Amino acid sequence: MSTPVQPRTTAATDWRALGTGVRLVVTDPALLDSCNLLLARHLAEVDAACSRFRADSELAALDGTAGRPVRVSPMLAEALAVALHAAEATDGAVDPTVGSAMDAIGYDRDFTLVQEDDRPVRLTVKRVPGWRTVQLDRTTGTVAVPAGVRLDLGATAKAWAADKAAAMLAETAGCGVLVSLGGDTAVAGEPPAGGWQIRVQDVTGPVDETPAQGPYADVGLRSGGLATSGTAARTWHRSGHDLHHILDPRTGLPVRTLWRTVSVAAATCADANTATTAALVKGAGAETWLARRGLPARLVAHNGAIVTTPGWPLSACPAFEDEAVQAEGGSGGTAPGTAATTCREAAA
Amino acid sequence: MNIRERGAAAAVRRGARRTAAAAVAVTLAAAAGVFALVGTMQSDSDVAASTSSSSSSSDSSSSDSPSATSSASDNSASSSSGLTSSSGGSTDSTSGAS
Repeated sequence: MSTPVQPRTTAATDWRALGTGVRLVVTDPALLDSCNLLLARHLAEVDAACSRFRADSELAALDGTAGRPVRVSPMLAEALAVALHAAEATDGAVDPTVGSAMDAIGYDRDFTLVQEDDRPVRLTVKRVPGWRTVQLDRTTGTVAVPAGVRLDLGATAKAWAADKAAAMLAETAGCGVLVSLGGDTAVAGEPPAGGWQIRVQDVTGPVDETPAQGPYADVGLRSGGLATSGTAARTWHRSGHDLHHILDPRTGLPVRTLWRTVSVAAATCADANTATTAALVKGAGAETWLARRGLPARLVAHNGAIVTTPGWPLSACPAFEDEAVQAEGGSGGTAPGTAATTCREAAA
Repeated sequence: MNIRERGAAAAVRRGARRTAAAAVAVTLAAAAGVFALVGTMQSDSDVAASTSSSSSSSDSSSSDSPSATSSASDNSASSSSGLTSSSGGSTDSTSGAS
């Protein structure tokens, strides 16, 4: 008996905001334009609150407050709360006080301008001030940032914005919604038949072009979020150094990591992106850290080896399923029931 | 037409009017919903973005039809995520570094 075929209709649009690619997909094509306008307004509000590159943003205004508690908008307060929660949940591996360190390596403006910039940079090892120096009072809506501390919400703000946008659009429009901001993907509402189909790869790209380089895998997503972080994108060369935007808070420098790409699915895209960034910073043993938190993940090493944690669909690494073996435990050992599985995928 | 028949005819007319009224109410409610959605939209000139392309897709992939590789052991999503095996349908989005 054949399986009944269900119709699957979606509509999508692509554009740019927040310095990255925006993709909106809805299950009711008639509502695409309406949803896109709402999304544009939402992202404009996020940009005005959270941008590190706009002199008129709320975040930039915190630079001159020298530790005085100042009232911020509910939007920025929520974004800061997400960033501080990420820092706490990762033991500081994802830290919003990396702003000055980002400036020091030349990432002090929109990335398209960073690539054109030729000012020399001097790399200096310096631990970032640390997220505990930032005091956020959600009751009064105030935040205190010490003098000399610059915030960068890049590790959490886009994913959080995608979460909020997807939830708001699904509730307003009453259909299934996918919002991707540079590959940080949040879904809400009733998904299309078979779930949202997402291809994880080294660098976010067009849906109709498989990556020219690197392995990739297709997965389904019915709720929550999926994020990928890596060192293959947002890179630049300056003063003889190859630089990228994932910083190690312990050194204030681009992290030198075992992994080139990490993808994680979680209940929210913000949680997923927090985990991917933390995994890059933690390096060896990150797969154990992810598995212990029950997060399905796919980690790609620089040599092309792929490790997945429990919950990541094995069919997404099909070529050698029969040969899947338990990975060696990370630096902290492999907890019972949380062993990561190594697999390899067919490279493109 | 006797009294009973006239009564039945009147009841039918009343029913028809109620049905029509209900249909109008539903239509107005739907229109109000659309206008409410549209009414909350604003084209914000501050947003540094422009729609560059849009597309729609329709295929007939089935939620039950396995992909070429989904006969593998079911290692589906944990309770904290909505991750599943791919159904093999068209790609909705890509996730990579950016």
